[in-house]
Amino acid sequence: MSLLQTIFEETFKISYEEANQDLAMQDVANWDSLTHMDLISAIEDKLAIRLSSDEIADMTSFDAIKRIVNEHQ
Amino acid sequence: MHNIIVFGTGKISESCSYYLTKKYNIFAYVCDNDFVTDEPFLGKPVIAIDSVAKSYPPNEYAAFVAVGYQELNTLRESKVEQLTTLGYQLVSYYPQHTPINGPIGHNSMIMDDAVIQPCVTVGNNVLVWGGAMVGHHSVLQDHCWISGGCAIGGGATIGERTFVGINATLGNAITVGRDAIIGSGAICNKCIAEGSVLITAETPTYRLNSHQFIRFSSEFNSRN
Repeated sequence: MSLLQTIFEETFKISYEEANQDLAMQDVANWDSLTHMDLISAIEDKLAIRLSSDEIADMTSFDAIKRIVNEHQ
Repeated sequence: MHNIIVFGTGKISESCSYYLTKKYNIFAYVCDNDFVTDEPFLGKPVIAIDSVAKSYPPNEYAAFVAVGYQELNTLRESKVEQLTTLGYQLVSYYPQHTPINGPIGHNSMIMDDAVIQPCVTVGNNVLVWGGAMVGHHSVLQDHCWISGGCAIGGGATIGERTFVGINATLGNAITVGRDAIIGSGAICNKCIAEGSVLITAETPTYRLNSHQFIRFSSEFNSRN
């Protein structure tokens, strides 16, 4: 499992299978503005990157997050 | 209808006057000697406290002290004492049908939109702002300041001069000692000693600005 999948799983309390899909905000019940910032903090801390505000605003699906994170690596 | 004079020429006085004029005729405003100008306040003359008894004698006029919670309500307390010493009777205001327990103290105000449950005791020089909820059988001791939006549980006692901030929550049957400060949004579910201060952390500014926040949060709307 990638570190990003682990972050999705822990932040949203979802299963490994779900964390492996391309879920969007509307697909994850507890993905709200607060968990979104928890997610951002976890990504920045664990991957040692700094996301811009525009990138944070664009992170509306797992695929979008993976793409943006990849651009930092 | 009583004829009164009102001590105070600031925003608190202006707010209190809105309610006082429903029940009393305000003839003049009073302030400390150093603050007197020729400018009227709310269309009424402003009189120095040293000369007010001569212009508006206490046997013809009552008074109300409408100043804020400066120095933890002691400024207002001292002005009440000063006007009492001059011989003035201090009036109070509360909405019709307020189910308070016995007579409300002097120089107290319960604004019209406050919710006062039955059997509440209100001391002297207490201000209860609109939107406050005071639970049944509570006791508001002298010189308290009860801000709008706070919720005080039934049977609670709020000590003298205590300040209760906006949206604070005080639990059922607790006692708050005198001279306490309950900050806005604070939650108090236990008895606290005199002089206690309760404050809560401010909500931090979100990392996204409003445009960025709307951009990503609009995704939530598509759930339904």
